Amino acid sequence: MKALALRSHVLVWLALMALLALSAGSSLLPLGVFNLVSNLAIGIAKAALVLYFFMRIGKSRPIVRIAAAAGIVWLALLCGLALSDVLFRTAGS
Amino acid sequence: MSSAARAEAARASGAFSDRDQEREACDLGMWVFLTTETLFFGVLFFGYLMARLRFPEAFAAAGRHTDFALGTSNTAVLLTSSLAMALAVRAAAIRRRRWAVLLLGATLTLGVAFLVIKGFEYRAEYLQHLVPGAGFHFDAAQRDAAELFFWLYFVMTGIHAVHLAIGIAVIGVIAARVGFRGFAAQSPQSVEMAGLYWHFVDIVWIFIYPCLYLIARS
Repeated sequence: MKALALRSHVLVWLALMALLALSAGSSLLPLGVFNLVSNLAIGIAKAALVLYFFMRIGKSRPIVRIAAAAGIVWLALLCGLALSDVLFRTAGS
Repeated sequence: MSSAARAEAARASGAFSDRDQEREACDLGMWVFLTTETLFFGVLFFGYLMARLRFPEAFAAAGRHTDFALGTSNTAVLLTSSLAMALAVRAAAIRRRRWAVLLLGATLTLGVAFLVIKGFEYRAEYLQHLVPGAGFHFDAAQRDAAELFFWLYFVMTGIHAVHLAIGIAVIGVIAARVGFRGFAAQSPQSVEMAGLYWHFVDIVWIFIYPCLYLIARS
């Protein structure tokens, strides 16, 4: 069983479950805008755990990491540009 | 050997200079595919963001109608399936056939459980007239924006469910081939690739969950 690295995998899973409990629990509290912020931060933390420990992105070759990052960077770019239009549009208002 | 078969064999052997190169190409190909999937799902999340910025009150009102308990349990089910999948990849890498099949089976079962729970949610929403269309009922003042929320709800969770169903089918085939024919017929790397896809689908849900289930719960 040692070769399965059961212990480290279960620890990551426990961390994911704790984060899930935290996001579910915190959403029941009236924190205003911090409900949104904490939900997003916890989501990013959970995704990072899955990416790093389950998908082992840290052990991948640089070209693979570039390919993975390209999706997120490109998405951020497109969303950022689109948001800059929507949020700051003044013409016609 | 026919000339066609010979040409095929030559092409197959010529595509990669060695096993390592084949592995690396496989890995990169999968990640490039996942990158396109990131953009694909990203558009849906961005559409959600736009609509929520435009109609914050209606999204809060509509968001309270999704099932908090079932959504949260389903997140736990999916995160656990990712644990089983990660262990299955390890088991395949060290060529433990029985463990690999067992853990792939666990992943698959949890995936099916997720879809069943989702089915119950859809049924409840159908009965509450929350499915967009002529039968959609909601507080008149917020009806249109709430309908938009449920459009996004069904499209996002629906496309996610389709991805999960594909993952279940792929894992089923791989588990059967590993079980009956061993790693000579089904390489450990194919388990690893299925794992990457499964974890990706899990990550998509990690972000769907707060967007659709955790709005205005306090």
